[in-house]
Amino acid sequence: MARKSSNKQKPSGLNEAAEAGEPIEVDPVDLKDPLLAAFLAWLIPGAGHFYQGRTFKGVIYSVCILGTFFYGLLFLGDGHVVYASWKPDPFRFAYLCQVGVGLPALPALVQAHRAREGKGRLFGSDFMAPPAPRQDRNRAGELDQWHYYLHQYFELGTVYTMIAGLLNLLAVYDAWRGPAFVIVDEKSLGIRSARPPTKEPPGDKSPSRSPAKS
Amino acid sequence: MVILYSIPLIVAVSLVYSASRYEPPVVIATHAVKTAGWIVGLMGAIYLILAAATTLL
Repeated sequence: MARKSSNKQKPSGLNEAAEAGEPIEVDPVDLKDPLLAAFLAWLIPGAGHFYQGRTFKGVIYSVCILGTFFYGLLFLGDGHVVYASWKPDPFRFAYLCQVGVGLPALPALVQAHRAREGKGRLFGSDFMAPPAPRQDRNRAGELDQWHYYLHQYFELGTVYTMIAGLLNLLAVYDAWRGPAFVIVDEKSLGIRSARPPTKEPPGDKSPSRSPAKS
Repeated sequence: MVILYSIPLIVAVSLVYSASRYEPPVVIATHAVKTAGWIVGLMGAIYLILAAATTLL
């Protein structure tokens, strides 16, 4: 059975266990309410980690993910590359990735709903609005016009926003379950990561394999 | 140079990927640099293969 401990108090016996080559599973992160943190992390990238007190990672996630998303959306895509479309135009598969970024991508759902209901666009703006369907098959539609004046930046912006949404899924998982590898003190322990627990042979109840107190 | 648009993506992906795997800031930064190197190397290798295929075939 793997040892499990907390970094709030450095557990005794970890150094000996590391030197003996025993499997050590260290859980130094206080995840608070993991589900709430995961939801916050999805809603606003980095918010779940700020809630957990993991400020450094919160800053990394918010700057990298939000920076990537808004750079693709506003600078490259001029507000057109994030939109939700179910019908009658082609399904917007990219939005499935983009919605991973949470709240910043949700106005597209409002715009799609208003378009489906035949209402006007939100605030009269085409920001994140699905393209209007073609009135005439022989004339360029709104999506064609976007592609025409944005050139390759339409695809670049789409890629940027998709990657931002997918990266936020890593942040959500990190807020929910903690980091994949945990390092307590690599200098003193001489280990770089927690090793997977090994199967304990039945009947082996030696004191060295009992869970360490945190 | 459209290829330059990959630089911010490489930086963001490396940092976020490393942050999701490790907790200490120093380890995150170190691992992010290694990850960025891997990404650049992999992209470079793919570029060379495609360039060679384009030239030779």
